[in-house]
Amino acid sequence: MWVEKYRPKSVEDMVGNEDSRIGFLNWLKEWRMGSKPALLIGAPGTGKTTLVHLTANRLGLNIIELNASDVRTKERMERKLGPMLDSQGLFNERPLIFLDEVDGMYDRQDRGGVEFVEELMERSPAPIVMAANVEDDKKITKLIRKSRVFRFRRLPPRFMEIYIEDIIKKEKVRFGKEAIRILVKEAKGDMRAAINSAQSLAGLSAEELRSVISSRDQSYSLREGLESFFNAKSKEKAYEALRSCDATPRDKVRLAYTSIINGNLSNDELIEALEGLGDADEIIRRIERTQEWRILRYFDRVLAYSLFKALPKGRVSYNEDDMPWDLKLRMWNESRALRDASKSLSKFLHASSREIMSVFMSYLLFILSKDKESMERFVTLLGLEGSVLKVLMKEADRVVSRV
Amino acid sequence: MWTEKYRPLRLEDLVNQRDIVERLKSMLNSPNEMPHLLFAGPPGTGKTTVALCIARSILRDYWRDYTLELNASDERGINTVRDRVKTFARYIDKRTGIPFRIIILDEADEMTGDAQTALRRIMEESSRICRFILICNYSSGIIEPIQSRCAIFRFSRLEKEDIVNYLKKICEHEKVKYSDKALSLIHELAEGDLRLAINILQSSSALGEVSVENVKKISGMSGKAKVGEMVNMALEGRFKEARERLLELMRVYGMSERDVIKYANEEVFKLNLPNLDEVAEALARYDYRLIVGAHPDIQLTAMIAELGRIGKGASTSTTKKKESS
Repeated sequence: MWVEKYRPKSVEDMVGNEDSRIGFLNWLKEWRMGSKPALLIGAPGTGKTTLVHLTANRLGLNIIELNASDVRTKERMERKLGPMLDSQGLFNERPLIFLDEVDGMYDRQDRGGVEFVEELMERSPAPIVMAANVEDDKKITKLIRKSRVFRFRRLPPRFMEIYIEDIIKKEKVRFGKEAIRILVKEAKGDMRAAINSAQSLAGLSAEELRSVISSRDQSYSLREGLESFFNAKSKEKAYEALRSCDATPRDKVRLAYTSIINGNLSNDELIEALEGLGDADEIIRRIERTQEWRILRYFDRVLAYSLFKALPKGRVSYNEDDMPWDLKLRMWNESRALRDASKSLSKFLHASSREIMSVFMSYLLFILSKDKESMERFVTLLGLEGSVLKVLMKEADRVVSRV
Repeated sequence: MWTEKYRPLRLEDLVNQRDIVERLKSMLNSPNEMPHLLFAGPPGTGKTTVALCIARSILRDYWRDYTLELNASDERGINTVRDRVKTFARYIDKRTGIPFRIIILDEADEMTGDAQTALRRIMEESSRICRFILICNYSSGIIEPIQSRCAIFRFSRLEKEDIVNYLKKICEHEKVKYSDKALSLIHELAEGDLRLAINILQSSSALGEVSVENVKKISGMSGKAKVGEMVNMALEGRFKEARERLLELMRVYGMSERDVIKYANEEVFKLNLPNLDEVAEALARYDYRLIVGAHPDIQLTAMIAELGRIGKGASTSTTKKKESS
């Protein structure tokens, strides 16, 4: 792997993001117990992981690393980090805790992982360094507030070209300047991607490289794929667009569904499209159930042809919402209030909250709607929040209006 | 709620279910030997009431502390059930003179087969200290090994006479004006479910009196009626409205997709449709898809759409018929 072979050997060999590199080195030199942890944010291939390793080496720190390939539940992390946390001073080596790809910590698989990190930040006897790709994630914004943040911009093409040219020279392969320029542009500031494609594409002419890259472009993202699917001029084009979507069949159906539901369609068109969708959805579930994956080859055609026939061009565009936002918000509020209420009612009425929703709630709200006072008493009796009262009153109004 | 206020406290006061009461009473003569119990039957026929009566009768003053009520649909998994049973089934204070603790597990047939197998282990582990009363709608939803460990009691739908008389008693006690016709209408709407009948009674009495007119007004409030309304909207081709109603039923009222189809199926037969066969066939097809695990939103939305088309066919065919006649 060229990526490993040509990973910079010292901080000085790295390119781009000089401020952050110097800032990080100083932060680590000055770190003492109680200091904030460091959070490196930036696109992939901009040198975050490399910087952490090189800096730690220079200062003689021993890296304990947890990245996305480890399962990061609370227990696992405690097991790995625990001995280090407890045995401070027993060993002479100074540790550095490196949590790579913290934005990849998902609530379900890495249960309690984020909480553990937050807890660790408070009491860690060793410096903590975290790295993330995006910062608009909720978990990350929380971490940003508590950390010293270093940002990594995408690397400028000129730096990358020099770096790649150097590798090409050392590897003694033939690769023209123009080809390198195309390849670097394609990598969009990601050094790792650039080196990887250099290794796999070295020797190609600029001309050949262009055609390789353009054919690679045809693997659409789901969004682009569905857009061109909905606008396809022939049923074969529609099938092509759907087939080259880089997404699971399940996601294709789900997003085709939300797009169609929001589309500007007549009832008849909707009916036909939904029938096609229903069929395709059934195929997936059957495949999953029977594990007969070879049936999958029919899936894209079934979905593409039936929808192509049903949908007039240009009336549907990509949409991820299964209902308008105001409706969604209203339903979310109501369902939370009603769920809270029925949970508290459960012990008084000897019924499950589900039964209470189906057998009691409407009647109860109707009976209580006669006067506001008894509704208020009811809400306090159940120990519910004031906001619930409002929703229940509104829901009661709706029940009454139907009578 | 009147359902709680008028819930019988003793087995003797139970509405009908005479065989069950007799068998249970003889069992309660020697409570120490009571096996686990399994109550099966339609909703509103007294299963929970009987379970609570037994708890009261055996555990007397201690019944609140020594009874644990669990709902399979509210507990998040068999592990939470196990945890709750474990903490509950620790010991019995000898001074109380109580033979065992009682665990009432409602909606047991909603549990998956795996969960029930785990439940069977839990029942065995805790049987020294606990007796289980399992409650379900269909005993066929309970795995064999559990059935064989329980004494099974089947509750039948209540007769019209029983329901009407009970409602009358409540009306007299609450001093509410009522008409006999209204009460038998309530019975029809509730289909043998006393709990639902009492809810309808109390709601219509909130309108002033229990009259046929008021009961009719209230009847639109049940989940079933709401599904019926949705089916109607769908058949009339009001797709957007029908879908909004569907989402409301599922997201706000937490109705399961299976219940939507079940109720829809019951409602369409009341509608007197010319092409009922097509409707029934469509419902069956979508029900099957849900069983295979298909996406509920997509499938039910598609179902509404298809009902719209069937409805359209129906209206044109009826006009054609009119023209030809």
